[in-house]
Amino acid sequence: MFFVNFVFFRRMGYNQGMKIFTKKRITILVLLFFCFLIINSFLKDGLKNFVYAKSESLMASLWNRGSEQSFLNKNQEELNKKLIEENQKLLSDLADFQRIKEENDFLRNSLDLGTENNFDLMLGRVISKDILSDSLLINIGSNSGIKKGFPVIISGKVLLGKVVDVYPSYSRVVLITQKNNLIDVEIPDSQIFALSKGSGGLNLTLDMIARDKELKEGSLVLTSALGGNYPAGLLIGKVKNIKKIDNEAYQTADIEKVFDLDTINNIFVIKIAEIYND
Amino acid sequence: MIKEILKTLFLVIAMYYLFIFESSYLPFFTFFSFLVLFVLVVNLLEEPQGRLGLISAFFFGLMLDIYSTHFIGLMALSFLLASLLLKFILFKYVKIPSLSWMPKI
Repeated sequence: MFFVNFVFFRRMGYNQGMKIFTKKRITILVLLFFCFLIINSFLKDGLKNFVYAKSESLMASLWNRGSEQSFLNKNQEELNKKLIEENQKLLSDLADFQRIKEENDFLRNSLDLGTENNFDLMLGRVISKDILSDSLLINIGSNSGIKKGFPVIISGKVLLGKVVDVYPSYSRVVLITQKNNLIDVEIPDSQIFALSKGSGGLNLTLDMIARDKELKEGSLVLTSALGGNYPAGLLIGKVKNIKKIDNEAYQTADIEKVFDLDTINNIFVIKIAEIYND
Repeated sequence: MIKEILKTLFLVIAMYYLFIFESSYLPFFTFFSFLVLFVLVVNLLEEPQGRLGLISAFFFGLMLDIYSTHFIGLMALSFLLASLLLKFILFKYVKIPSLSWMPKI
């Protein structure tokens, strides 16, 4: 019975002389191609901005709910324990840093250098994430002074990515974890300069580390000013899984990123004067 | 004809909301895209002369283009072509009787 049904189903097409690539379908494809060509030339930004504006409230509320739900789903007990441990470590670090800061301020005053420049920041909110790649849509755009190439951070000077597309009221941010996204980084406690490479799926690796350098697990990875894309000193993550293979010219490692999707609701875009290497 | 238009309209609206749900709520829990699976299933199950598979593939591609850094139309046309090719291969070469007892969409 099933087989008969199948045969009839297939034969029906043959009897009608059915074709998949008909002239009509090919014409529609060609017309669509030219339509999209025109849209991309003149209307792309306006159209995207219009669609984002229409869906913004729904997307923003879904993002907030997802973020809260995801946070609640995590094992709270384990998370608390981890936070207490981290807090203790941070307190001891803070005591050290306060002493260093005082010393630094005294030296800067003595040398008449002034204080370190702070960033010019703009606050934005995440609306959605691209399904197929590591990029986010945020709710500030060229109307707020956003330009292509501006770095995006979250609280604690944690680097998230950079702006790649700007529309009047929205922007698209490519995350540092986007596949083949390269960033010049430094590991201050070992004086190592290397490359951070996005591997997609919210993962990062550390590449081009000279073999003779001593890399430590847990060392902080910060942006370096060498590449010219990002200001120096933004936090990227911590070193883990160091791999030193005998016949490889460089050693590699993974980077444990310090941001989590459920902690990203508000972001800051850094207004930088020049983008050297966009 | 009206039934066909209503069916298409319903599909497009449902896919739009599903896409928004997928790109704003689901990234916290999974990277898997249910819409890709949906488009694939519709294309596999419907009759070769059906249009819903083509429309769903095109609309999903269009949404991907709009909510990403791609040029508008890149994924829409790619998905549409992929859907046509899938239909062509299924119609011309695949002779699996088991497909026929699945519900037609």
